[in-house]
Amino acid sequence: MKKKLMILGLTAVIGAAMVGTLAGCGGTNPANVTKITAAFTRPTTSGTYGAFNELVANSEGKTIDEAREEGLDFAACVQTSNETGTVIQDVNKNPNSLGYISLGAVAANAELIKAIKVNDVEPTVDNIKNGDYKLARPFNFVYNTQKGLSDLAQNFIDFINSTEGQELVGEDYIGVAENPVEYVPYAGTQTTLTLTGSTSVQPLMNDFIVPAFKAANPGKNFTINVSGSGSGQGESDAVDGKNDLGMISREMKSSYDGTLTSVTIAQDGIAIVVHKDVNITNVSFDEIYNLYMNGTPIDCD
Amino acid sequence: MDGSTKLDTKTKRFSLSPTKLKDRTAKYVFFTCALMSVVAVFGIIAYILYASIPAFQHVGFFKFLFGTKWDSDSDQFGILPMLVNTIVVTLGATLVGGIIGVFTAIFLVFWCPDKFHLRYAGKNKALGRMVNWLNKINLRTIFDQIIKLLAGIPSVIYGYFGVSIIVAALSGADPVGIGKGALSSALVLAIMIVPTVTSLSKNALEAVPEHYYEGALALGNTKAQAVFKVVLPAARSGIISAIILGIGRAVGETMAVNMVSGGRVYFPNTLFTPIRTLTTNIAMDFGEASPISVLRNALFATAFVLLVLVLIINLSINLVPKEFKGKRGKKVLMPGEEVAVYRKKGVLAEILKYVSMVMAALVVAILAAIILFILINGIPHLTADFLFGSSSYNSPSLVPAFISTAYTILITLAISLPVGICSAIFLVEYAKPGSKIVKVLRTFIDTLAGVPSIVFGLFGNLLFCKLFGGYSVMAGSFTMVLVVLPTIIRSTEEALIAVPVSLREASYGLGASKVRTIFKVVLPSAFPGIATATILAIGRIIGESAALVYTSGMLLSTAGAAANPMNMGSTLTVFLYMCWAEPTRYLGFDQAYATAVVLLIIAAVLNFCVYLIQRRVKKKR
Repeated sequence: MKKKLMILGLTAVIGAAMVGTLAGCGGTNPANVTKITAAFTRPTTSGTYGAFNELVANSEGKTIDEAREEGLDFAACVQTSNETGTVIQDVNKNPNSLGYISLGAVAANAELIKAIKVNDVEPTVDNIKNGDYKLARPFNFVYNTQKGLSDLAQNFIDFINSTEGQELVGEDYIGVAENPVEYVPYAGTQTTLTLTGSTSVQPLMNDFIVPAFKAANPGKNFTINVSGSGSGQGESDAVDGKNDLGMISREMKSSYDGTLTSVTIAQDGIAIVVHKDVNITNVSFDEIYNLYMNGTPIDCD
Repeated sequence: MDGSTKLDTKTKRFSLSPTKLKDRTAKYVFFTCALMSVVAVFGIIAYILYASIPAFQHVGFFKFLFGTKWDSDSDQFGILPMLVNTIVVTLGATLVGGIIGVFTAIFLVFWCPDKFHLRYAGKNKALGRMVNWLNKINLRTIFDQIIKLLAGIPSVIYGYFGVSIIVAALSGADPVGIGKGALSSALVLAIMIVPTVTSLSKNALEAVPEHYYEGALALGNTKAQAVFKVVLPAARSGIISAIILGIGRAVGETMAVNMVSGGRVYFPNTLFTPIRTLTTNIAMDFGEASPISVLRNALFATAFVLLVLVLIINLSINLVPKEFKGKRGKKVLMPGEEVAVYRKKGVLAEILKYVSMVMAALVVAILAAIILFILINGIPHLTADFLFGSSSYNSPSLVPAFISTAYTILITLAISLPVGICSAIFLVEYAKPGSKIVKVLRTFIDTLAGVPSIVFGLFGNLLFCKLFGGYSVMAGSFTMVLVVLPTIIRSTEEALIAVPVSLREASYGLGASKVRTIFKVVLPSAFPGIATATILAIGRIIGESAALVYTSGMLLSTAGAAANPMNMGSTLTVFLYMCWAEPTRYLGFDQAYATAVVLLIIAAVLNFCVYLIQRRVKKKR
């Protein structure tokens, strides 16, 4: 009898857990959110963070970076998410919050989040190109100056800067080649190319450049490794010779001048993102600054 | 071996018989293996300390330890908040997870019914057959499998579960409405250490001689009293080591905590203050930290403090007396009143019995919730193309990840199993129990067990990646050897100890040498335990992410490239983490959940294999 009771209890608890699981998927209705009260940031070493901090300024022109140099800290409603994907999930799970991610990552996750206007400017490739949308940063490759570029790495960069490459970059990012020319397929013997570093640059490589680069060299059987672990890791791997190209999502640290050479391959916008169903279409730099530094809520539309 | 010539001359001088020579050689081999853990710990500590010295010089040792500000922009590095957070979160997790784990083990060993005892008197034949079938199920085995399955779930999945279910459930109570922080971290960690604590406590409880239990019953104790007053205290040493491993896992866990902790450098003033622990402090900043910055050194210094913390935990555990001394009755029992006192005391044990049942039910419920969560989100995206299709950038598949995972497991086990088993043999069969050398070795093994996997990752990044010329599956596997070695040694030790001494004596009596006895008698008898050790190790390898991201790379590979272990490659879990961390057009959250389903299935299949092996061994006996 006791055993039966126990089994019954067990089943009940499992049932409760199931209900709990399903209930957990619900939560507040995003359409009813009236104020953005929380925000997500990235680790202070991330390339996205660096650009965001240097660009977002309050009405007096003081950037978050300057405020932090004065010793001010982020408001208590700001939490740190370690990766782009974490920001996307966090913003999606918390309709009362906003975050910032690489513009290149927005389209692929449109089911969860949306990018909103900043200072009344839509975050589009064109607006970044003509300078209207201010939140943008460079994507760079770095390589060991002493070792130089391998000829496959040089050809890879040539591909990005070619007419075909620039078209691909232009889908979600902003090309920087001044006068793109026709791509000339690789004629050398090298087969392996290793890229390590920024996880923000990884999608540009994986989604656009690498598959097209392979397709543009049909006779070759390339092994192209694109491993993401962070911009700093990209630099240190380049110093140690662990990669052919280091990917970094910010300017190269000045301490590497001489050791490493940096090549800008694209520009990337930084999008302010919210849950896709929240009624907010625009934020100003001042509002973002005050939310991050003072915890001032932002009213929805 | 260059020692063989020396031994040859020795043979002549002392004219040892070949058997004795073999015995002696074997002893040295076992001893060398046991020393590997010591070497590993010293290597790691020395390297990490070397890398942290610039930070200590820049900030000042005490300022680093007791500073409360961590800001890489202004080169201010103080880790007191992280230190406090690690201690608080670990204590919380150990308290909750330890209690659940130990009680679940008790339930599993003493109260888990073998079978359902359903009765069906109706006329429906199909229903009757179903009841018969249900009655045949071995519940104890199933429960055992559930614990092992929990151990096999990668920490990244616990992180997802934490973010999606635990954090979401707690968000209502959080004034900011998010739900991340110390409480979420402690709860996620508690769930994660339950399998470790349970399976090792179970081993310890089963190793208590049967006559303790029977003796207690014979003295008139109820079953609950016998279990909680006699068997449990007698298994104390094993349970404590189970909890140490649990603490090690909690202190060292990075990826899951990173998803649920909130990431700010605050003290845990409230349950929902966003926090950083020591490990997540490293994970947050290491990837992006420039290698010649003070920040990087400060992160190594964080790792060093973490190591010292682990060392302190292990040393303080050593102070706990291993032998259980029974308490003497205070006064001579008199009839009447004294009996009443005795009964009153017994009530606690009876209550604890029900506690153990509730805890066991809780474990089942948690597993059910995790599995449902993964299956509901993952199965719709589990297509044949994603599983077995040829992998390209615009239609990625899991094939390269399968290959890299298999290589990582094979290479890691090929090294760690022999070394681990030999270490355990030295500790159990050769070293004098309780001798200094055993104590020292154990301390180092426990320390190695407590070394956070992210620290292994940093260590592997510098040593093994250099050795193998960059990121590679090989470098990742060598790193994983260090990660799983303590698990293998500890569980094998438990298994060897559980082999009755009489078996060894009988073998000696028949004239077998020590080495022969070990290989022909002891090891085969300990096989189920060693199999468990292997499964725990495979679970750890499959579930590992922090140690592999910086050693074997985080990338979408191709089958051709993955076929060579000297190339970069991502195991399934790292692949899953990549999908989660940097969701792109073709690889996003959907693919992450689908990969999680695959990982769950693999864990279940592995557990089933071990179950079959163990059953076969049992039948043979």
